[in-house]
Amino acid sequence: MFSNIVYIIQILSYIHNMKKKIFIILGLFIIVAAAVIYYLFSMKFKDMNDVQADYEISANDLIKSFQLNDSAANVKYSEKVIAVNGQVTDIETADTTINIKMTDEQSGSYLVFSFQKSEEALLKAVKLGDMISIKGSCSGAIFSEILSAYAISFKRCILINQKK
Amino acid sequence: MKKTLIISALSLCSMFVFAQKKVTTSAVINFDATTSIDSLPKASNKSVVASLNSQSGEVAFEASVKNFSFSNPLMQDHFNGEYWMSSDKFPKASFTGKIMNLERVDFTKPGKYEAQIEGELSIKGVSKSVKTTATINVQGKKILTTTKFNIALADYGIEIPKIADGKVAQTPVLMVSAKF
Repeated sequence: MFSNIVYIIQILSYIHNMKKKIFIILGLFIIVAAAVIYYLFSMKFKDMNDVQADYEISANDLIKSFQLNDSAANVKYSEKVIAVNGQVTDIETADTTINIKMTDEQSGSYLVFSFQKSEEALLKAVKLGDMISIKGSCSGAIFSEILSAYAISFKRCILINQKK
Repeated sequence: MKKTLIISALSLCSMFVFAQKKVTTSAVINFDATTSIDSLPKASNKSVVASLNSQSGEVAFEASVKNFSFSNPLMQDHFNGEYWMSSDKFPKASFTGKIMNLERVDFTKPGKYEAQIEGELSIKGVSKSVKTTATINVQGKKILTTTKFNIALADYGIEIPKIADGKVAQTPVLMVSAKF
């Protein structure tokens, strides 16, 4: 009889301890989940200055590879960080910011770069005909029906080797 | 006298022909799907190809879906993913349309004009007839245009996963602006 009561008390205290543990585990879980969600939502793209280029290529070679086989080139270059060397053929304003283009005069196909905010001041020094290097995230090519040419766009770009 | 008349008439004609179709490769589309509880789903694409024919009233644009730039990498991934734009399969979003009240828009005279536009908007491989109004601001040789499209995602076969319910607008707004 007495041993039974002791046994029941032991079980009850065991359950009590378990409950405590479960609460602690649940609490920790909620804190971790909240931290993960906060992290995911506050995540930002890295500054392009701190990103290594996956490829380095000349503007002409890059345009050619899209003209030769656009689906293969799209697979290879889309969402990759590319450093491109080439001659500035157009400087255009897109709302308040500046885009730079490198166009293949023969086909009309072109690379177009939009820049991250940090580059605004540096871009003002860029002139038509300059040979420059740009690093950015390639968005792949679309074939423009309007221009009958490939439009290969880049986002979050920076100018490189411009700090001389 | 006759000669100069002909020459001036010809040059006027050529000017007219030259001015007909204008194209820019730096038009901007701002995509906004924000709601009261989530201010993250918005992006901009700054290298949209756009054209405007001031004689026929034809307007068009083409945007690379992958070039919509979000501040949050995860959002950008979702946007390009299968549920949303499936941009590997459908890399381009485009619009072709016409200014319906072209007689009301004088491209040679500076001023602000309201244009009624009708056309086909094609997103994720689905084409839909749409109507909208555009503001055309003629400033000397420059023409600034802005248009707004309200897009019902369901029309283009875009289903928002349950988990994102309320965090993404069901009818996001596309603001298109182009300088010619």
